[in-house]
Amino acid sequence: MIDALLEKIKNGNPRALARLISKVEDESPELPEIIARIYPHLHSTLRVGFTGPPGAGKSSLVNKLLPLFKKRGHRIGVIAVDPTSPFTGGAILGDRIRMIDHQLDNDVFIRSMGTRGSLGGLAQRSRDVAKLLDYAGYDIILFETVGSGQVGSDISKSADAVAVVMVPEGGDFVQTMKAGIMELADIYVVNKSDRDGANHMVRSIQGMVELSVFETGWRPPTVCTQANADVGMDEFMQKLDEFIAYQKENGLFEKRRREQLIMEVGDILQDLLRRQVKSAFDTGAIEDVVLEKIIKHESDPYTAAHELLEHKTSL
Amino acid sequence: MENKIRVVVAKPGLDGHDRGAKVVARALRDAGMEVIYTGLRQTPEQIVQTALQEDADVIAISILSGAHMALIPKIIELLKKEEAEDIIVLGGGIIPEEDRDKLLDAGVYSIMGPGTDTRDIARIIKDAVKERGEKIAS
Repeated sequence: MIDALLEKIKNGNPRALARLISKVEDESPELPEIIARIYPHLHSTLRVGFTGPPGAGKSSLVNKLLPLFKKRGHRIGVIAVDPTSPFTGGAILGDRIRMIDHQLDNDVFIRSMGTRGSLGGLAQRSRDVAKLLDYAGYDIILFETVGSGQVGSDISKSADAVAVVMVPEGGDFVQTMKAGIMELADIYVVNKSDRDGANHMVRSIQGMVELSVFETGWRPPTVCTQANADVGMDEFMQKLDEFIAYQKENGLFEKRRREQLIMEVGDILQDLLRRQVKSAFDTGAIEDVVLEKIIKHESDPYTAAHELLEHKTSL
Repeated sequence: MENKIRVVVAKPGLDGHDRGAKVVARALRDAGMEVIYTGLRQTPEQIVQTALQEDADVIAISILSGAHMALIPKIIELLKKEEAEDIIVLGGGIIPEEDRDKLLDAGVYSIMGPGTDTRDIARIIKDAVKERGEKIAS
């Protein structure tokens, strides 16, 4: 099954790719095998992330950047994430609506994802979907997060460059000083910059940047754009190029990737352990192995938990 | 592992009346599905490409312009061309009684016009997806 789909992907079949993405997204038992099979063939494509509040224009910006990436000869995979309802599990995935210009373009593959319980701004398996797109020959990946106001830092675990997209109404100086997504930016974008307050917003961001200390020495620039009118796109690309070049020249590109890989393995490990713990609850292992001892004061909850962890087989 | 039902809610053709499509999209969201909403004035080609890339289980089409006999069979034809005729196609909007059988014969799974209870739509989709899953598995 996986073999057949992988073969079809190599032949450019979009549905086979979409199918495998669903398997990954649904956390099919085949997920580890799929990743193991494709990993040797990946090209470590450039991944750029876009985050910012809802309605800031992230999708519109991506839509207008796609032709510029294409002009450079790239094929682009877009992963657009929208929130899943914590109440019903349903979602409206509406980012594509801004990208219909590229619906029939063979060089652009757009996939919408629901967060499905993840709170970090991306979907749980966005990173793995990016790998599949890489395998399918898309050599630039653009991530678009859910609309994030202040928190949601998954994007920094997944992208080589992060753009934080703001709007003129984004608040005053103190908003730009707050911790959270403002800290993630490699590039700031003030979109809808024809609106009142754009200059004020730019000054607030720049003022904040001036007060900050940046370990890597890169001071995030601010780009003004009007995505719907195609204004500022070239400037954005120029800043992106400058940033990537800076990262590569200073060994920071590789450094970030290494850190991301460590986090990724850590996340998977956590996930595996969480599942083991869940199964310990489900099968009643905790009750069977340690409960009586704790009740009789022959053990205590901490000692018991450590014991279970050391002898994982009993989980 | 969960298999979320993914539905493309599409408005092909030139009419701009999307209230019905929005009501359905919202109802399916509340029924726990992932709804890819693509907006107005989509061509059949765009709708089919979206359904392929998004690995949709269902395409729910809303048309109020009277062009249903041209657009819906076209979508089904394109799905066949892409070997994706297992994707379930539903019709809604203003579709006259005399056209219904023709569309059902062409491969539309069900036609649900104005007044349909949105819970029925969700139920029909869930049943259809289940049935399709069994068919693919066997």
